Amino acid sequence: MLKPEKSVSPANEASSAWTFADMDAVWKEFKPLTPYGKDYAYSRAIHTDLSVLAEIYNDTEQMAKFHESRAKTSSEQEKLTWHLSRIPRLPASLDDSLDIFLIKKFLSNYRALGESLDESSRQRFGFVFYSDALLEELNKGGSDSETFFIASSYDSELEAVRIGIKEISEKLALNRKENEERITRIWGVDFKNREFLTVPADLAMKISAQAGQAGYPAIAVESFDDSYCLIRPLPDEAALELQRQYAMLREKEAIRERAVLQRLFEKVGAELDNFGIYAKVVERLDLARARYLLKKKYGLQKPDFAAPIMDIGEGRFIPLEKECIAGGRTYTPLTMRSEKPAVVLFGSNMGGKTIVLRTVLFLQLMAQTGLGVPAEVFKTRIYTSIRYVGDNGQDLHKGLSGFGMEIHALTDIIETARRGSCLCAFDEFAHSTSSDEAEALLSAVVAWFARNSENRVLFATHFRQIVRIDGAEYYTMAGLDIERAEKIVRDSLGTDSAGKEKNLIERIRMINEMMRYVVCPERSREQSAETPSRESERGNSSDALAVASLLGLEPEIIQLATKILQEKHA
Amino acid sequence: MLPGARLFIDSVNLVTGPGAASGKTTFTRNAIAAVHGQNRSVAVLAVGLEGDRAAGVGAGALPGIATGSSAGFSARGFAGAGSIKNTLPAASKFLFQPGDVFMTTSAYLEAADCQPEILDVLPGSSALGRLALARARRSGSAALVGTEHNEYLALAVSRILENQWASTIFIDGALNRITQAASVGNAQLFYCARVSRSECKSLIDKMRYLLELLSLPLYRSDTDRGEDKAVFIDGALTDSVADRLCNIDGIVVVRDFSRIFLDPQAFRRFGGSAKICVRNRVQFGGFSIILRSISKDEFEKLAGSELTEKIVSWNTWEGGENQNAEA
Repeated sequence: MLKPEKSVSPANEASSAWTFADMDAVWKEFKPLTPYGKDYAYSRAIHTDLSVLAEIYNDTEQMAKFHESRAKTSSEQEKLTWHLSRIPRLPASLDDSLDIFLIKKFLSNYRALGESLDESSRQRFGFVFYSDALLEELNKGGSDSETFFIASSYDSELEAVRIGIKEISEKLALNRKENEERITRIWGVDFKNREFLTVPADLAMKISAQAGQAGYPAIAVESFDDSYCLIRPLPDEAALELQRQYAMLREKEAIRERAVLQRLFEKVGAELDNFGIYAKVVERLDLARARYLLKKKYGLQKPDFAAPIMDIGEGRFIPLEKECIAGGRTYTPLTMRSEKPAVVLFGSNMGGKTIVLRTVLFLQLMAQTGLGVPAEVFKTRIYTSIRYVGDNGQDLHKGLSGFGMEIHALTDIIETARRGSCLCAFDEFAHSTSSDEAEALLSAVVAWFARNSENRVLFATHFRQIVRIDGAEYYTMAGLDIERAEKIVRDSLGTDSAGKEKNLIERIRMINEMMRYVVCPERSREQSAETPSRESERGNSSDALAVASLLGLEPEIIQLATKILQEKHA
Repeated sequence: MLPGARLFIDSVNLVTGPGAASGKTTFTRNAIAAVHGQNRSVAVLAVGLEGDRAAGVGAGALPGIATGSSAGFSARGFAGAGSIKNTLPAASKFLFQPGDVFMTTSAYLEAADCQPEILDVLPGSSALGRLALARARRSGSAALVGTEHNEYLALAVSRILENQWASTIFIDGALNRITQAASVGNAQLFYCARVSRSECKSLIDKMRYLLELLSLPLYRSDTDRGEDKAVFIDGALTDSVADRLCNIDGIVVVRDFSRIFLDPQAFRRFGGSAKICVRNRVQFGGFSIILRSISKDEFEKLAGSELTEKIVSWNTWEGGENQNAEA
């Protein structure tokens, strides 16, 4: 199981892919209710064992059936949610009564969970409960099923001691009340159950002189400020004797409570193995519920992990889809099929190459976290390593440039890929070095990865001159709608002042509208020669000039660049 | 004058005050006694086991109370056969009636006289063990131990209210520690202070400034959002932050009044250019004032009617006349 940490760490191999695919945008909506489920969510586990993933998807399926079969009796679903939300973490050791409370609360809600499930769900999630007798014992103490105190019913001696404590408490309260009444009668001071008071100094002097004398209550007097003194009633002989008796009984009570607690610890201790089983059931139920809710919200599907190829039909990159919807833009899901281990993707600037990489990693991570995929078709396999190399806003290693970081990551990935089962996305690899060397390097890297069919490595690049090899597939983004783009570019060149008035958001929206976010197989040179088209006439264009123009670059510069380009190709 | 019960019932009452012996624990106890007088239960929480409580009103007035020894429990239950003595400052010990709810820790729960029923175990722990909410099943005392974390305090308040364990809550703690709990509905702040003649002017200035801060307007996202110049400050509004924002002429939004760390002059200077709003507004319940070497008449004259009408309790330690309040 891969475990990306919460923070991006270069030492953690999956974290860069997780961040690049913006998985947290969906993961933050994965909300288990129990401490066990929350631990799992925090771990951001990416599973690499097919049998584990099969169990996870079957659990989610069962939870879906449970919810759908109970659609008319939502109270059952509410019960499930309610009891899950009240499950505490079982204590790691038995130290005091708080641990007994936690166990009681856990067992009480756990048993209720079982009662809220149907038979097939109980079986699916392995629900068992062997602790009726223990729970009955724990239920002796507490006003309800979720609270706990050491009740007198646990121990007959405890009951007798508490009766004694109650009687003495009443006598002490009466003694105190009578003492306060005497003080009020004699000196006109009403304590109103307070431990001490301040009184004018002259009254305090009078009290000090009389207190403790025959017929007068005992009172301690201290100075407070220049006009007031602080007085505090002292217990009389009878009160002292009652306090002594009270302390003795409290000691006995504590001993009896301790004995009760010890017996409960022993009973609880005998069932520790069961608790382990219950905790697993709780976690499975909790995660299945949380996954089901996400599945329902986003229409997530179970992926097919048995495919030697990667086949994506209408795959949605949810974070971008949401952004597009919020911005009133059209979102185009990804459809793409890849049969070879290396995939190279060319395309326009702003043409969606990076989004394709992000979508692929997103779908794979969604699949291997067990959430399911937002796609009509997602055929893939399980990868033990999911990686990303490119600009991710990561801190650079000391002394390494951007290129150095890429090579460092590549070296690491090559080691992983030797073992196979690596899915990796390279975004604009080697873009920061000279184009001749970059193309040579990229060609070699593609060739290296193409040798091992256990891996799947995707490269998004502008380097059209890289060497084509049989072990790799070459795709291109459909790019700009040329007819529309040219018209807008012409208009823009002609009326630059109007063009400049458009703000960046409007320009991006305009580019999005004329960009076709579709992955197409690259046309070979032979194909292009046989059936010439507007597309093939564009040759190796990345639509850079058109995009620059649409983004509002000075028309004079665009014109000059166009001229230079035409001369070069001529 | 003791506070009347009506002031507190069905509210989250935040009792605070400057430094040691400001009378906040006495005020809280008196308030609880008033609520008990109306046959209502209370919940009592604190922030931390306050160091200033040990100071009290002189060592003689607030002796240490031995807990735990009678129970024969160690701080970790049955870990040892011997007993330990946890000496608590008396002010951290409260007398509870059956049905009252309080926050304490595992170590002190077992020494509580009030036969506590455990209602919940809160996340985290204090230096004194895991924190728990408990309910007294008989009259008796228990040590109040608070959480060091504001968010756990807010959590405890919400659990008490959601589960309807109590509707009247008292929180005894420092001003900057309780404002998360203040964001719970129906929360109100009481400010306790003890004042001598020499400190009188300074306290009156503090009281005026506190009222000024508490009356800051609530930021309303629907009506104020239109002002593009709104600046949200997640931390504290300190002198350096104020310096950075000195030329702003829009809205400055702070979490609540307690996040303003400016002295009154700097605050008024800053407020002259920017409109300061709060995201959580804390209602003000009133002042509790204990006078030392100054008479009530003299203090009232210096404070003026605007402040004195906000005083809900005078000399909570005082016996004799003027002790009673309306229920």
